[in-house]
Amino acid sequence: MAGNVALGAELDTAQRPPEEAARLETAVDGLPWGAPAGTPPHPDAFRYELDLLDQPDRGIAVLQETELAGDLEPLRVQLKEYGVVGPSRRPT
Amino acid sequence: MHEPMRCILPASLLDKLARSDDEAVRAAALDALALDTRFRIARAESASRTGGRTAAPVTFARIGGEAHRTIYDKKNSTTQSFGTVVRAEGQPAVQDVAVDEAYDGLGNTYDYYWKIFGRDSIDGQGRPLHGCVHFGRDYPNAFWDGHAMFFGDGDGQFLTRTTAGIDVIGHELTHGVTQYEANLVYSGQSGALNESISDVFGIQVKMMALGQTSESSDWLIGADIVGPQLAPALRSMKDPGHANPHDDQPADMDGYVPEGDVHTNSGIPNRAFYLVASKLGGNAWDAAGPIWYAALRDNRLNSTATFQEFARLTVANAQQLYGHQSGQVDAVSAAWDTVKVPL
Repeated sequence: MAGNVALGAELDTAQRPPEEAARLETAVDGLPWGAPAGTPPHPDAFRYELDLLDQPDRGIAVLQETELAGDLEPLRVQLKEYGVVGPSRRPT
Repeated sequence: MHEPMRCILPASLLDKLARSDDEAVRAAALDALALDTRFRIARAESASRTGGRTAAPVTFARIGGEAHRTIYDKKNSTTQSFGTVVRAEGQPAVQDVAVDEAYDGLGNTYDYYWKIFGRDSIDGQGRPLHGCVHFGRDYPNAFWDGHAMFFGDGDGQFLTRTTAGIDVIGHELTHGVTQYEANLVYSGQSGALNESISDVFGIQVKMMALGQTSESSDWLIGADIVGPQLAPALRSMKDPGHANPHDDQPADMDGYVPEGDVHTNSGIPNRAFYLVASKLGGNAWDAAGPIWYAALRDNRLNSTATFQEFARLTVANAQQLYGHQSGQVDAVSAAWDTVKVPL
């Protein structure tokens, strides 16, 4: 419903428990970096856009609503707890 | 061994039997004829109504005019099964405000489409409407998944109780209408049109429910569901880009965002509709709504339509409905010119 606004947050894996950080980094490494966004499962679905501040050349990984789960769950929780509202990301 | 014969009696034979000297035969034939006539009338009535472009052929009659709603409680689950039935069609209000708001909102949406267009539910053939409340935990969204509506309770900051927005319910169910009509692809300009059409008819559902005209409406989408971080609304059809401090919608093609989110660029056709409705005055469904509806149902509207293609169809359908030299056609042409979509 509110697709033209976004929540944004940052997560530093160095501040996470080592095991959680390792799983998260492995999962993040395997994301479709730079690939075009897939088709959403339905209108008004959430979409997650990830980037790595220390690896800007990787581009952006776009995930559909149900894909930010499992080992990536800490990202969703971080967003929920610390997210700041802003306009949706403009394509670069 | 004889097999029993199974026959369907034609009306002509029933007619003959109705004139029989045998009273029992006469009575049975007359009963059968009465029932047969009801079915034939209902089937003819149904055949005269058109369902959506992608709806299945009508196989049995249904006289429209009444929604068939069922509300389910998801109990904070995020699966897309329906959940526990908590209110069915015709049942009284319950203690759960989200349930009752969903029930009423589905009814408001049904009523709008039936009263203005004679459309019997989102598929035009009486499809039951399913609403699933308490989806997820503090889930700040509502959506139509192709089968049912799902409502989150909101997180209190981003969005609040999503069933509180009549326009939101109209918006989401209109995704279903679009699914059965042009089935606009949900990306690029066709996706922005898909979103805009949901806002166009969502705001009209709210206007009708609240007795608002084009002049008295605030033309805000989501004003009743936003939390403090997005107040006063999600989007403004009258003034795209100014609904809240983070609103990035463009008001015309000068601000069009290539590969932008479908909720961003929808501001352009949204504003076009607002301009038409406000120029013509009165109820938005007096002329602007029918023009947009006719364009949505026009077989020339492809699933990958651009803003220009849709704009041209609104003009063509305005001409068809009101005449080539009409004020309605002038209003539509001027609106698209204002938002800089070339015809």
